[in-house]
Amino acid sequence: MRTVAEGDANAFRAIAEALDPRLARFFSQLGVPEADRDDLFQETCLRIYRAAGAYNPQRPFLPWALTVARRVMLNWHRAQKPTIALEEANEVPAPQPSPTTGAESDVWVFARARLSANDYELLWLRYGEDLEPAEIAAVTRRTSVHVRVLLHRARAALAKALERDDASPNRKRGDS
Amino acid sequence: MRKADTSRDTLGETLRQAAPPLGRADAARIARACARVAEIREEPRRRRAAFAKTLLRVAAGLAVLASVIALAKINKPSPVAGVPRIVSVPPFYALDAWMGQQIVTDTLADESANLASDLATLTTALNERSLAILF
Repeated sequence: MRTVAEGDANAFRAIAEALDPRLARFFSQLGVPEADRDDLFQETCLRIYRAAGAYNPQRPFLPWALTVARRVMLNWHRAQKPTIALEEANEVPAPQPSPTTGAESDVWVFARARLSANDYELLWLRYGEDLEPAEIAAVTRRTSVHVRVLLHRARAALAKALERDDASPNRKRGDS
Repeated sequence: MRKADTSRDTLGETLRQAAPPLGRADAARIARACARVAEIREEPRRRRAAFAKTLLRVAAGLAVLASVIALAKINKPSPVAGVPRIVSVPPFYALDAWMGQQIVTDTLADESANLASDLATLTTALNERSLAILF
C-alpha cells in the first residue's frame, strides 16, 4: 500500500487483482445486482487508491478494504430509488427459499430471506469472509461486544428459522 | 443441507462451508479500474499545468500593464520646481491688467520719438550727400 500511495501502478494492479474476486463475492452476497458490481468495484478501487496514504500497515488489509467497499455499497443502496409504488409493494411476493431444496450455499439464500439485512451482513462477514468479531466491529463501526451480541442474535434467529422450516408441513411433505 | 443442526458451532461451520467459493479475477474489470486510477493520477498534473498556464497569463497581463503605466509616466512632462504652472499664469488678454499701463505708454512714446529723430537725421544726411553729388 505504501508503494500504491507513491503512485506505483503495478502495485495497485496487484491489489486490484487480489481484491476483485473478494469484492465480487462480497457485493453479490449483500444483494448488489451484477450490473452494478462493476461500478462499485471501480469506486472501491478509487477510494482505496486515494486513501492508500492513510492505511496503517500494522492492521490487516482485508477488513480495511471491506470497510471501504461496505461504505461504497451503503452509498449505492441509499442512491437507489424504489422502482415499485408503495401501494404495489405488498403484492410483490418475497422469495422464501428453503435450504433443503438445493446446494449447500442455499443456506445463505435462506438466511438472506429470513434474516434482517444487518444480521445477514454480520453473519456473512463472520462466516463468509471469515473475519474476527473485532475486525467486523471495525468494518461496521460497532464495538466488539456489540458485534458479538448481534452475531449471537443473528445465529439464534437463523437457527430458529431453520428449526421452524424443518417442522413446517411443506418440509415434512417434501421429506416423505 | 440435511436436517438442520442449529447448535452454534455446527451452524457456524455449515455457513462457512456453504459460502460460495471465490471466482476468478475479471481482467477487464481490473483493467478498467486501473485505467480510472491512472486518470485520477494524471488529474493533479493536468490541474497543476492549467494553473501554471493561468498564472503565466496573469503575469503577462500584469507585465504589459506595468510597462504601459511606466511609458505613460515617462512621456508626462515633469513640473520644474519654482516655475509657476501654466494654469497659474494669467491669460495674455489680461496682460494690460497685469502690467502697468502707464509704463507701456511711456516706453512706446520714447521709442517713437527716437525713431522720428533717427529718421530726420537720416533724411538730412541723405539730402546732404545727394546734393553734394549734383553740385
